Amino acid sequence: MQTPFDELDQKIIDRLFVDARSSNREIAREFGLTEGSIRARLKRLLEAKAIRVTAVTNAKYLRNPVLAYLWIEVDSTDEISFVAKSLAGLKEISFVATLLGRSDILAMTLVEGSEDLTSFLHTTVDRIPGVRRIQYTLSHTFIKHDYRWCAIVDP
Amino acid sequence: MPRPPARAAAEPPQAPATGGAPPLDRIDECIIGHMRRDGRISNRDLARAAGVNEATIRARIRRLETSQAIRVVAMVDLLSAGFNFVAPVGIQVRGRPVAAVGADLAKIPQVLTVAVVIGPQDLEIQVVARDLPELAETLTEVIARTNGVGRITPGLALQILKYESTWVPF
Repeated sequence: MQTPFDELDQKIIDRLFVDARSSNREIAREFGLTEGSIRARLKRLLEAKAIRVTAVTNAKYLRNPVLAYLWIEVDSTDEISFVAKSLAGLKEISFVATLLGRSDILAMTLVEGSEDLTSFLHTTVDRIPGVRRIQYTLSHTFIKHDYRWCAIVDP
Repeated sequence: MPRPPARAAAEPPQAPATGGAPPLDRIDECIIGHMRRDGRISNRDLARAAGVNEATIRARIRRLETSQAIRVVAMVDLLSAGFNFVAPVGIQVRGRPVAAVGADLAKIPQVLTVAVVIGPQDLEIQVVARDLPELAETLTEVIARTNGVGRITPGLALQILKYESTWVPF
């Protein structure tokens, strides 16, 4: 599958997938380029919000992690944007999108145990005005999570 | 799509979570907090922030990575990479174990996540595509033809407001 990145951008990105803390100097040496050229490319990719470099924590160290999909229906369609923004503002929620088809909004949260989920929902999501109904899908088993992809959205 | 490095390729089903994180002290927390905001922050800046020397920072990062507590990774913005369509898709499985079908779907590069779920669906997956023909092709020619896939129930993201991966399985 192709992307709009040019060959050098793609090489740098692939290199950072393997070890994101390699120095510009190490990468430059491997590619036979100057440190400045790597630095400039990376700066451009980061400033354009095309990539980000971040630490992720291993979910296997959570106690009984449960990923909850919240399929949310709102009272009236003009409230979708307000409800979606409110959900995105909750630090426990990791994913929010407005949808075509399955519900008005999909939000996801990773919690430790179902008691945690119940109290979180009652004290936060249930209180957002405009939320009419939430259907839940729960997962304990994650077969794949390709964390090389994300959406970089301005808060 | 970038070529997947070997270790990020479709991983086999995870063992049940064991819980019990390795104990992290104030210095570890400080390092992780700074690297969440900027994974390429220099060891020198981390040393200054944590009030320790650079050798300690290097050793701590190595320990956090080798104990598999954290990974510092590059993430690519889907829209910037041309993937304009993100579809959460529910899958009902028939005639095969759910985990086996999930493992097969995990091999498809356009399938970014696969989770075994409880409810009307057996699996929830996230599919990406650059355009609608590619999405249609992936859904009907690849996913629907995977052995054990019964009905598929796709949705489509209109607008993504948040997409963070802070805790991930690896």
